[in-house]
Amino acid sequence: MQITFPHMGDMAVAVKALFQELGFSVVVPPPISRKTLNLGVKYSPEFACLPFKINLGNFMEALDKGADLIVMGGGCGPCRFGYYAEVQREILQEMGYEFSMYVIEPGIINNIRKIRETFGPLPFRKVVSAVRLAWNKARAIDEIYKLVLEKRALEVEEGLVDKLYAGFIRKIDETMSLDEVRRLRREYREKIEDTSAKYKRGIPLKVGLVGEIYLVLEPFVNLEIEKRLGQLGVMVERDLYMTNWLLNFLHLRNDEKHIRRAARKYLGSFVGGHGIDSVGNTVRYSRRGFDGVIQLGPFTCMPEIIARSILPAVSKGEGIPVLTFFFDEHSADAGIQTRLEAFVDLLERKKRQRMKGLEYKGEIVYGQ
Amino acid sequence: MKIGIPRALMYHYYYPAWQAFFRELGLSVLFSPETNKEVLDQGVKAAVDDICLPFKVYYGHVLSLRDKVDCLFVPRFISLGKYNYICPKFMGLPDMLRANIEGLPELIDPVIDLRKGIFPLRSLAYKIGRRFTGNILAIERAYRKARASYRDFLQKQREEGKREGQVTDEAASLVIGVLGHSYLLNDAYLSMRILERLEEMKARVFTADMLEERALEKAAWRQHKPAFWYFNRQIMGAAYYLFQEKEINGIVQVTAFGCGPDSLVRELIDIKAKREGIPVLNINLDEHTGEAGILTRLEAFVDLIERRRRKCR
Repeated sequence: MQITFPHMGDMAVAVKALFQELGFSVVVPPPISRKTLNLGVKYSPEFACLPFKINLGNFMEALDKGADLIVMGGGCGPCRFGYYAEVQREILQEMGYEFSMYVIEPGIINNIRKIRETFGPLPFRKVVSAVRLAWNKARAIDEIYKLVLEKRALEVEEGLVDKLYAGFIRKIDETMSLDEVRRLRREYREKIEDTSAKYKRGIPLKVGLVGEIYLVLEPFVNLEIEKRLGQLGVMVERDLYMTNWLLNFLHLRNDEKHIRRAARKYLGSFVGGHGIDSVGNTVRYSRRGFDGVIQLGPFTCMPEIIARSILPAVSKGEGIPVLTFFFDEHSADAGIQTRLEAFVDLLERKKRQRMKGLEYKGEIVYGQ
Repeated sequence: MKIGIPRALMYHYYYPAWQAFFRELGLSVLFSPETNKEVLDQGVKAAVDDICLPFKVYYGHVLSLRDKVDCLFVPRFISLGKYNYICPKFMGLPDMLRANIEGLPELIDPVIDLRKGIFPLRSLAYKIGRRFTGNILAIERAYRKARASYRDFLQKQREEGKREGQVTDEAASLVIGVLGHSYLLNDAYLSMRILERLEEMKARVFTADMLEERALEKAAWRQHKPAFWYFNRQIMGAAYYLFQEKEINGIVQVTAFGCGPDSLVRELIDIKAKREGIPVLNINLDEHTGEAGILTRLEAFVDLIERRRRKCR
């Protein structure tokens, strides 16, 4: 049995560790590339959202490399993601691939039964140690990345933080020991903190990132927007992390309560996906004194379209500039870069005027 | 008091009930005009670019009612059945309107969530009714009237499905399934009268509305995991039902540009139709769709299946 799964940011490191520790062999799909995208686009429905297409590309490349079991998330709506697996399975079967698919649907008892059917009996102690390793890796990655998002705006030498982060990911991927993971986490935390010099722009600028989780987490599809912001001297913060999502999903944490409360004035109902998070977190970032918010989403994403319709009102009501990017397979570097630079310039001007004690007179931009 | 109901989206499924309910409560009900170019243009201007066509049209209808009524009925639909949802855009609709359109009258936006059975419908009716009258009996009466006229409406649609095709000559017995949301198919301007045109070409047309809901639900389970969006589940069920139960000659799928659920479900129906050997015509509507283009494609499609049938014989 050769297990594969879709990419999403650096999630592969933790998922790979989980299955390997359980004693299965894993085929990690090749890193997302232009080729992955082209394959996905070619065989996906034209108007499916971008994550669907990339997932399909991942699966095809992994199946070509010899995988025969796909592990994929499921759900029951209303976001389209819950229906991905069903359509992807039909498409891949129609293309003639032979494989089986394990779809993680909600419901604990159902899953336990299905896991036993698919993977055979698993000793409890093995499961615990595998989950512990994977979880610690995921936590370490998220913690270090959170630091990366902040310190890119302060690095002494351009690209230094990214170089360190790449090294960290490589090392954490190689190790299979829990102590080593903890040691790496400490080591790289110090290393990255040491790179800080002064703000590239002279003043601290902070932007909150909201939107659809795949587009926020996966640098290939968002055209490395976080890195671009870091290069422009902007600190980035976001609430969307894989571990964070899992904690909320398992009801071990309840961010939803705060988000709902913050969003209530503008959006009175959950809307699937991360739609209400986008609205609620924009309000929360604004209250915490952020300089701006950037929303990311795939083209035709239903929850993000709702959020995008409402964000202009939030922007006006809370007085925070908001910029929205919708990505599809045709999104290109130049357009993104220009708009980002203009946005960041505006944020800087606004902040400098406020620091001088002048209220910013210009119109607050929102949307587009 | 005048209540406005936009003639778009859920109007096409529930207008008899809504009309009866509010009339019985003593309100005067104003529907927006049938979709036309002006409504569409206004809607396209007011809504965000990325949203799908039916919602842009809805914005247009709201704008055309804005200054003429005291309140607008824009319910917040969440779910229409136990294990399903509908497209999330319905859940945020009242909020989107408030954020994007200035000078709106008061919105009546009850939350309609039937995941816990249909009993909440009555209490919902009371909640809405209490805003307009203190007379509980009047609300109960209005609720019953609404329910009755909705049942009549469904009945009429189903009878349409049982009606035998008017077989005047040999060529007139083409059977075509037209799959799409009612708010597209029943909007003459948006759908360019696809249903009528097919009938003019002497085809017998089936839509999901004409079939029994229970049969649709059963047919949808031929998919390993049926779609969880209520209307798409019906469309899916209709497709599989027609493949199995009726001898259909072709399927026309009508989808709107930017429709999320359609984009995935359409693909599944395409795959299944291919396996069954049934020809499919996919029509994607947006604000730039021209009438001539649609007509040509429909004619070509009908020609094709006619020729194919003759060959088989």
